Amino acid sequence: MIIFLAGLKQIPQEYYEAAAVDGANKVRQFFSITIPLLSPVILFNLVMQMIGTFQAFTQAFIIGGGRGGVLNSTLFYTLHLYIQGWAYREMGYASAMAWVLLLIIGVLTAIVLRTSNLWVSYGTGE
Amino acid sequence: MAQGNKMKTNTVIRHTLTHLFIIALGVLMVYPILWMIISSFKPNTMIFSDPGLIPKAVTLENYVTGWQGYAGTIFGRFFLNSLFMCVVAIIGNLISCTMAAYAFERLKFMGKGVWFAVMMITLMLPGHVTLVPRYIMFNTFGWVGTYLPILVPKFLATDAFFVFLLVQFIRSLPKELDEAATIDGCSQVEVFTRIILPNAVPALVTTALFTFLWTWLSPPKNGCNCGPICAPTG
Repeated sequence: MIIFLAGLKQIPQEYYEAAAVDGANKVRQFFSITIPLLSPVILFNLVMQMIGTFQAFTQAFIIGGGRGGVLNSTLFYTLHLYIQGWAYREMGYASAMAWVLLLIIGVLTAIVLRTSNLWVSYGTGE
Repeated sequence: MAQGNKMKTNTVIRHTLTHLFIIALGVLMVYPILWMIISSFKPNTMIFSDPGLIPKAVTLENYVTGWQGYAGTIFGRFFLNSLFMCVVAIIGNLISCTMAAYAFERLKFMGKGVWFAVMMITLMLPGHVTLVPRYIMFNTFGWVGTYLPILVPKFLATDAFFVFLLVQFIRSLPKELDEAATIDGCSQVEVFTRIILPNAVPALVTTALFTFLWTWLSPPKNGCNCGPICAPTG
């Protein structure tokens, strides 16, 4: 949220004034100024949240008592990795899992970054 | 006139409802913190037996014992250590990450795409995976038990989170500014210090703020925050 705030701070107030003069209401201003100018920051948060969510561990660890909960319903990828590595001592398997996770996140991030020029605008003339 | 009064009443009601709603949400969010603060004034045995907000007995003992610290090292020392770490880490991150981000976004150099990918990959690898190799590495350097493993990497732009953040911010600055500055005779370094830095202040503040928070609360909270020595979570 602080990152969004910093992004909002960077949008010049003049744009809103100009839009208001041109008769754009608040909603229109939000969609035509705020969202496009904030899109680089939105992209950043999207990528970071995606990576972070794939690596979600602490919540699953706590809520399932470190085991994955009832019927493994909260057995997340990283939690499984942790259990394999530290509880069953399958370090090789756990390391392999970590690299596969890296691969998955890498591919998804690459897709997001590649398609970002469809919806992310970087200011004037691009 | 009656019409105007009615509208005014409507506005008042609407604002009151909005504020009540926001205040209720706010209380909900602040409650755990409030509970923690009040619990710190309760005697140890009463924290869970008397979990309400209004304590039956008030004591300062927790703070007195807490300040005495551990094995003769008082709390002030812990505090100074954390403060030192934070200040140096913030300086390091601000210098190195902005420079790295500027290079990635504005300069042309060999293998830029590859290095950017490498930087992003450090974000994608769960920090716990590199825990042991990192420890071995710093042990070989003879750095274990010193400040160095936490502080030195901050000057080498290892926090890819901030590099990526700053890249995104710098990218949204118009290139025309740089070009105008170059035409006016600014060197590459001057473009960086006079054009990019002043325009990226919100991002710099964010960087400083997060560096402070994450260094202060050193055990990592998420994958993005893997300092060189992560305490194993859980």
